[in-house]
Order: sequence, then structure tokens, then C-alpha cells
Amino acid sequence: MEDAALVHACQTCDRDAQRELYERHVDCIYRLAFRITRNEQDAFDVTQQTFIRAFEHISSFDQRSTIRTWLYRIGTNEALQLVRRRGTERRHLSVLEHGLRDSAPASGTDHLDLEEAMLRLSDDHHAILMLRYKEGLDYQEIATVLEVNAGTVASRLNRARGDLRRLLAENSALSVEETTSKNHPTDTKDVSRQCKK
Amino acid sequence: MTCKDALEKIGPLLDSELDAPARAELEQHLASCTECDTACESLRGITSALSDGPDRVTVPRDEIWRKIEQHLDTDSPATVRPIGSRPVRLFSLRPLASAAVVLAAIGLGWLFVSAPWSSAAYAGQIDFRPLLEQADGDIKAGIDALIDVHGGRAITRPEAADLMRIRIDSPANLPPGLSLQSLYLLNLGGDHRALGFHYHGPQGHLLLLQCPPDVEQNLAGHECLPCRIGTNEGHVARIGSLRLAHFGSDNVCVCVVSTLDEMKELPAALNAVKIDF
Repeated sequence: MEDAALVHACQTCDRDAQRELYERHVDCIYRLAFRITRNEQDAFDVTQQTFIRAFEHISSFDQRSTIRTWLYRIGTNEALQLVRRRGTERRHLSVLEHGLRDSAPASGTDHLDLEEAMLRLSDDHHAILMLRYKEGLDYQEIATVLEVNAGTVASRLNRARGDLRRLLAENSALSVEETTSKNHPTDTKDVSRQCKK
Repeated sequence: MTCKDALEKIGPLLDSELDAPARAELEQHLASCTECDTACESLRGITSALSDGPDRVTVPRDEIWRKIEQHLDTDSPATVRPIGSRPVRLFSLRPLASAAVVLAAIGLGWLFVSAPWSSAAYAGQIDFRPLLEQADGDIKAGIDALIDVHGGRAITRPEAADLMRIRIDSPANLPPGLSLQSLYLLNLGGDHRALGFHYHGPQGHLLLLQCPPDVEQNLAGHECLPCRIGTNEGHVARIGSLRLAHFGSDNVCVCVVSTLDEMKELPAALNAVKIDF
């Protein structure tokens, strides 16, 4: 059954259709929620709430976007509301719980640095990079999810990438400082000056 | 093309979001500018690492579905938990300030249905039965009964301002003829209170009740359809001559009871009231 027919069936509260819709999209929504909240319990709650809200409001879904994009919109809003309520400290803490464990080196950019830099981004910048590079949404889809225009998506992505690059550069400089400092404790000042050149 | 223009377009280039002429122009620039080309390759490495990063999350599909199904089974279609609902909080200044955002936002859409009368109706800790019993009768008497059943009383603007530490204005952009008639303070039990705003004019009545955000609602068994004020979604039903709507945000629950025309007057009024808070 295609998504459009499935949505129609869900609008009549067909439980099998609801389950099918859930099965098709739950992985994407859960992973998005986890990427934004960086916490498994929060991802669980956000996913649960996303589908409950979707089923409750599915009569208002007008099929102008895909159901996947519509679910992303609800999920992103739910996840962002959660992290904003709690502040970002949980995301920062969870780098120790998940980021380190899950990270593996990738060509070009060290993944541990990348994870840490991502967690230092603002919630909005973190979310938009997730939508683009983890979920693979194009600018128009992101615009629909975030309820902004495509031009805003482009400029917000530029700012997010700029911030990420800056944070990576800072991390890189710090790493060099720390490593060199451990090897040559007495040369710290000189190394700092070298790194900042 | 300047380097500044090029740097702004490198991201869209890597995201395959540039059209052919813009892409060709940028590639031409990159071929002749080492700095921009280096920046492009650097960004390509970052975005590639972002896309290729590990994804080892296990999705607890069955557990989540059980919770969803449990919710769907236990809640009637007319009983929903609003956005961001959470445990009881004391009524405070912050909910009222947030209500301003809720109510001042634009982009209101309304959907209504007619449905038969039912004796059970509530939103949060507010029991609407006394009002709904007057759904096709004397609305003012119904409002008075609603206030009375919750141990409420009329309060003055200075008193409301003092109690809630907010400014009470009658917005100038209300629909013509509609004006703030009364303010009420309702007791919802314990330390919980609600502030009521009753507007009246030739068009009819508009009663807003602002409550703590710890609510569930039951629109008396009537089919409950979604509606939206700005980014805040809610639910609405038509009961006799009344429109009963409910909006929840993180900080506040707003219950709306009105006889205003749902397509024009009510959206205009909701966009106007509390705009100065």
C-alpha cells in the first residue's frame, strides 16, 4: 500500500494501517530524535509522542508534503522542545555515554572531534545539520520540516557549517596544545604561541 | 564571482542545491582560486564525515508501539493530551506571558463539527458542564454558573494586575463592538487558579480561561478536530451555539468558549486579545 492510501486508512483510525505507517517510519523518527536529544529515553519519549500526535492529527494532514516530512516536522518540534526545556547539558553529558562509545575514525575528519563539536552547536544548528546530513533531506524538505523558506535553510546551514568548522578548528588547536603539553610540560607557553599562529 | 560569493555557495554546491549555471560559475571560480578550493575541500571532508558517521542506535520498535497502542486504546478520540503537557505547576506569571504568545500568533485555522450534547466536558481542571447546559440558551448565565461552580469571583483590573503582575488592557484591535466586560479569578483546587477574561459585543461572547499546563481535555464526546494558532495546535468542537476550543503549550493551557463566528470574528479576536502582555 502506498503512503497516500495508508494515510487515508489512518484517517479512519484503521489500527493495522497505523501500525504499518509506524513500522515504515519509526526508524527514521527514532534516530532523528536520538540525534537531537542524544539520549535513548528521550528518543523513546519523543518517538512515542510523535506518532501519538500524528495519529491524533492525521485528519489535518493535507498531503502537500510527504508523510515522512510531516512526521519529521512533528518529531523535530518535539525533540527541540525537549532539549530546550532541559537545556543542553544533557546533550553535553551524553557525549560521554554515547559519543565516545559509538565514534570511530573517519577519513578526513576525526569523528570524536566531530561529535564533540556537534554537541557544542546550538540546538537549531545541530538539528538542521542532522536533517541535512544524517537524514538526507533536501533544502525544500528541511524548509517544510522547520516551517521556514528554502532561502532561510541555505543561510542557516551556512552558519551552522561555519560554526562547526570553527569548533573543529578550536578542538584541533586544543588537542595539539594538550598533547604537546603532556610531552613537554615546560614548553607550554611556546607551544600555545605556535598553535595560535 | 568574488570569494565571498563563492564561499556562500560552496555549501549548496556540495549539497547539490545549485542550478547548472551557478554551479558552472562556482566551479570556474574554484579552478582559479586556491583558497576557495581549499575551503571547499575542507567542507567536503566535514560534510562527508557527518553523512558517513556511525549509526548504531537500536530502535526499540515493539516497546514504543506498545506505549502508542496503549494510549490509542485508553484514550477516546475526544480525549487528548496537549503539546508539552506535564505535571501540575502553580499558576504563575510565566504562563500568562506565554499565553500572549499563544494568542497573539497569526495563522489561525479553525475546523468545527456539530455533534450531540453530552454531559461530560472538561479541559484541565475546568468543568464546562454548567456552561454547556446553556449552549443554546443564556450564555451569560452559563458563564456565571461556570465561575460559580469553581468558586470564582469577578475581580477588578488593578486586582488582576496585582495578583498576576500583568497589565490588563483592552486591545484596540478587537473586532468592532467587542470589549472586555469582566475579569474572573477561578479556584481550581489547591493552589491552582485560572484567570478568566470575558469579552462581549453585538457579535456574541468570548470567554478565555488561562490555566496551568497540566491538562487533559474531554470535549464532551464530540468529535475533536485540530486547529492551530501560530505554532500552537489545539482542538475544537461545536456544542450548540458554542465553540469550545483548547490550546496547550509548554507553559499554559488556554480554554476558549465563544459564540463568535469561527471563520472571521473569533480568529480576529484571538489574535487581538492579550497582545500587550
